Amino acid sequence: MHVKLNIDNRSPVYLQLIEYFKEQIASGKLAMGEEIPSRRELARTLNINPNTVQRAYREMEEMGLIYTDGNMPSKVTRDETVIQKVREELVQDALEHFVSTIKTLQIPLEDIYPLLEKTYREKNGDKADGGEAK
Amino acid sequence: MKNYLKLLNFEINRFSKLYFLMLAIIFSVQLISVFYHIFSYLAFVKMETKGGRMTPEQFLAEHFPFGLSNVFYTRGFLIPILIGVVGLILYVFFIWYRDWMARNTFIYRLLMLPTSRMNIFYAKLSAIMLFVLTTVGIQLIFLVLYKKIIEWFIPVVYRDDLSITMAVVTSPYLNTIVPAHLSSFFVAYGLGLAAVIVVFTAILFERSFQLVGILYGLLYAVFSFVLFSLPLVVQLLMFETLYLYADEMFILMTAIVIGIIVVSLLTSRYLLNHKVSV
Amino acid sequence: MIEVKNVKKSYGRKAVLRDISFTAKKGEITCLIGVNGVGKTTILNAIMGLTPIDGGEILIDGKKLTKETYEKVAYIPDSITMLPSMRIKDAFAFMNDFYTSWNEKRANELLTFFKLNLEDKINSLSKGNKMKVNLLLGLALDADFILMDEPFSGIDVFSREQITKVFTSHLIEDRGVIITTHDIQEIEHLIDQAVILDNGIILKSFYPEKIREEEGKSIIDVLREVIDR
Repeated sequence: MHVKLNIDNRSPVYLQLIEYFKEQIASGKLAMGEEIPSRRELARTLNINPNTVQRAYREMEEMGLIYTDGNMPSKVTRDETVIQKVREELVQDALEHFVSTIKTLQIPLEDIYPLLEKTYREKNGDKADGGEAK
Repeated sequence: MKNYLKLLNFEINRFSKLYFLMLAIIFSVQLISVFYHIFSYLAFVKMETKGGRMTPEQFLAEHFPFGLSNVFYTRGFLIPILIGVVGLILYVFFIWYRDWMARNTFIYRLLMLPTSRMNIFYAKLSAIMLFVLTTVGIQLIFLVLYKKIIEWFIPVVYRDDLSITMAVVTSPYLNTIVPAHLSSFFVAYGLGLAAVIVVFTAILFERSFQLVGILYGLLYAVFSFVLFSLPLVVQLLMFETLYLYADEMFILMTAIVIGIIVVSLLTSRYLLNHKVSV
Repeated sequence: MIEVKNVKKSYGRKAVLRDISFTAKKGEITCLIGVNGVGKTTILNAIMGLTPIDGGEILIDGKKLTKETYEKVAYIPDSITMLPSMRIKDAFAFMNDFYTSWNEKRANELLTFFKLNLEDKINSLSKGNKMKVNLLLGLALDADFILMDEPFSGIDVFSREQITKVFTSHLIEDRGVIITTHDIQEIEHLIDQAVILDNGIILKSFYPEKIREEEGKSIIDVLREVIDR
């Protein structure tokens, strides 16, 4: 797993890590049951405090996103429902963010649909991307 | 105890290169001087007795035979000793200051060792005493050598075969560092030890209080010396003569010196543990 | 943990530390932040008993400093604590001789990691390499606490990278670390606790992750805020 993350200094790093993993898992870039780097490796790669990584991993385990078997490295969950839930959460977050941005511009909903479709097609092009909004 | 020995070993190794260089210089100069004086004398003898002008007996009646004592009063012999003395005195200071100097932060390491800080003090003290005693010992060994050389080159008739012991004892400089009696030996080196301890304490004052510390250090040294000379001075002032017997004086002064040593060690311990700063 | 309580220190008339209090816990990296000359080194020296304090107290795991403490707390000042004429192997022998907490195996591991040799003479090393040796001598002790004075300043970027790696490795894990710096940028995400010093006092000590979560501010934001006050 090649982790690339631009860390924002103004929001908690552990949350940013969790967000990143959520995106990777939801989009399938991190497959079900795939191994993730150890706490120390991740801390080392990203140059961040191991305690921060520890906290992120702990919360992800509580959320059911990852699991750890004894001394083996942690792996992504194999539970489809969890992954689906994450996808829905991410979509919901994106939608809420989109809507609150749009609201201030006071554009009617009917005008948004064609714009949405156009932008979506442009972004995707011919590529079949995982994690489409349903 | 083990840590003290390790530190002592360390101190000895640190100075050994410079020390042996110093010894090499001292004894080569002395050796050259000995040869020079031997050959000067022989040349002089040859000149005076050439062609039967003087017989050996006549020569010896007017001039003196040549022996170790002749060498002792020459500059070539005494100046190296002076160099040695000055060198060792400088090292009494340098042995501390070198750990603080310039980019050398070795004092950090010494002060952070998991051992009593007085071990550092004792190691440096012992190292100095060992270097002094070794120097004296080596000087004595070389005296034996010089005597042998004199025996090789100077014909017996012109020789003054004074034993080394006698030669040393009758020489004003040497009989201070190589005293005739064992008790004098302990007195001389005991005083030397006390002096070094007082100087070390003064150094620690300076390292603890910087500028003001120099003042404290000097005051301490002066005070110790005054205390030491008190018996003598008081008697002379009060009675204009020595009131106490020699034995009583000796006991009194020994007590004072021991007192000075003890107070200095306690003071040094306090400074080293609570006041010294990097 | 290391507790610094109301520490005061003056050099002659000048009061360098007026009232310094903070705590550094085991398992956390605490960073003292302040401009050059503010007294960060003095605080570390004081914790290590290398300079006396004029007031307050410093406790290490609840107790005052003794000679045994030197097995538990390792100090890495900003210059090397060995004789320049020594080879690295001499420095190792010296540490091994005096410290029971000296871990020769770890020392050699670090030597390999830093790409240095036992035969290297300390005075022939570059500044970056000297710093690495210094670091090595401190990290190779099985100490509970490690104090580092400006570990990143004045060295090349590659050496800095290597040293940063140490912070995220098993070498630091479970130990309490206090580091000082005047430039927080590079290590913003490495530290657990930040302690801001200015003018002899602690302006603020805080946990950056907590501030990020509760106030949405970075360390530099807090710095600005606190200095402007």
